[in-house]
Amino acid sequence: MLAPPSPALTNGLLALVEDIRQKIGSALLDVAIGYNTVLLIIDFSVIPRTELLAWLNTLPAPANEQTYKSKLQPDLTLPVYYGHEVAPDLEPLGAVLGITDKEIIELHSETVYFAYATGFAPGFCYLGDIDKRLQRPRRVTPRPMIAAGSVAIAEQQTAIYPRSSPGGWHILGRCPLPLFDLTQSPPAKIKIGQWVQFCPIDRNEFLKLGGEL
Amino acid sequence: MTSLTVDRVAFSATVQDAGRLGHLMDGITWGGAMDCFAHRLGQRLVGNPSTSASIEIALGGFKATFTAPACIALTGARCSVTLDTIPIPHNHTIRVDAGATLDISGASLGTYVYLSISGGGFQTEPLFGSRSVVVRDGLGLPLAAGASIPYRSAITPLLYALPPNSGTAKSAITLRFLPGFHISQASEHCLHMLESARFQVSNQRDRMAIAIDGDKVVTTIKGQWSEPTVVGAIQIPPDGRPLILMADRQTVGGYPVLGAVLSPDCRRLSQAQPGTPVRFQSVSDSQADRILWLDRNYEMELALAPQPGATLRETGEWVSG
Repeated sequence: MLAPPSPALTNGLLALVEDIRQKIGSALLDVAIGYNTVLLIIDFSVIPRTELLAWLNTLPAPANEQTYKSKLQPDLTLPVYYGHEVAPDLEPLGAVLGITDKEIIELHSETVYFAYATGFAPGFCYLGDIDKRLQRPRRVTPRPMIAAGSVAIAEQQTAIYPRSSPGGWHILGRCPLPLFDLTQSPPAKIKIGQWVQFCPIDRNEFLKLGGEL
Repeated sequence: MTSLTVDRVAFSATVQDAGRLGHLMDGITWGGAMDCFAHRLGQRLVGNPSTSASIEIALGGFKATFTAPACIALTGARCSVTLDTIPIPHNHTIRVDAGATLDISGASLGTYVYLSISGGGFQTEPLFGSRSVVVRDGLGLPLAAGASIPYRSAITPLLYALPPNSGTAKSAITLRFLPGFHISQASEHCLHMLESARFQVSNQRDRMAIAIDGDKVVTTIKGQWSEPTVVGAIQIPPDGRPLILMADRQTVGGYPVLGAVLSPDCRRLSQAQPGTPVRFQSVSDSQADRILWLDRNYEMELALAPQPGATLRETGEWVSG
């Protein structure tokens, strides 16, 4: 059975990938990390499969702590404008959860989140875990179009949509910064294994930072 | 640099090469030619490395004008093709002059037709080491009337011909797959159902995934944590209608995956038209090794053999058989 996701497991998987990269170098064509899985794309004409598998079997399993401990200092702080004009789900969510907008914003921006996995779209990063009081299933009907930069939650996760796309998560605000920039290296702002916190900003700051309404 | 001027795109056409490997960690999918064999064959016919870029035309329907001499080749889906109204064959190296107009009809058999050009292929700006366009992710743009696609004018010294492409046949296709690790959580019944049920290619298909219609596949596999996906993955969404992930797959997914279809069968699937009967067949690791080894050998045989005007083999499976 697979180990349940945790920051310790993710860090273990990142270290494992580095070990494998050291060992097989250019034979490693691509790598992806999920919540509790790793995908290795390997050129078996460079390293025979049996040899690689034998070596992989000698590696210790990545350490895993079941308990989730939030880090206090984020590696990355991202500004978020939690205004109603960019947050269509703020009010309905508050009504369902029985808490005020202010409380939702506080709960969402107080936690330092761990970046578990990337994917879905370039620069999209699955962050967690959000406060239990905010956790809700995805919307029954996904929205056909969500604006780029939208900050959203679903179940125990939160994320920013790097590009406008369809989506079924609940939208709480918008980040004015690009999450995926082709002119940067690497282009994705958030990296797996980082700790990320959201910092509430007002409308003026949002616009000043290049945010679009 | 000289360029190809696009006059008309009926459905969808994009520049594609061997794909954009190495960036899954940034959420960047591979892209690349759907029928990579047809793409490589085309590059071979014009004397390019297989990593060069071709134009992939979905369902045919494409018209364009060359501004400088070149050699071209058409591979993949069968279409009627003319160069300045004169019919030209598939799987041949064809010399074109400046001002020549290429007109590709709708596909009569198969789905993706590839236009390859000498001089190292189409020279659009690479992103992360690849020219493959992934429209969904904003990596490049689809071609539209008026677009100019640069190329280096060059004439391939030898003219090659390969046998007519019998690929893209309407006959049933078998998708041989390696069972994935989720299978240990699936019931026997689930795998049996996948291997014995009758399916067909759905009309819901694009560069991201191809849906398979037929009996519903019910898995007992519980919800998954999002995990990386592979090309050929057999995803089973809640509606029980299998999805086979293709070149523009999303890099992670949360649906149960019963296995991964081997690459030669993914290519056949990419060319199959809606309604084509499909069946699934699981293979062992060693069977998969052998299938892939034969496939590579077959391609090497093609790469070594071409002679001016030669026909390599009279019958057999070609391109996407």
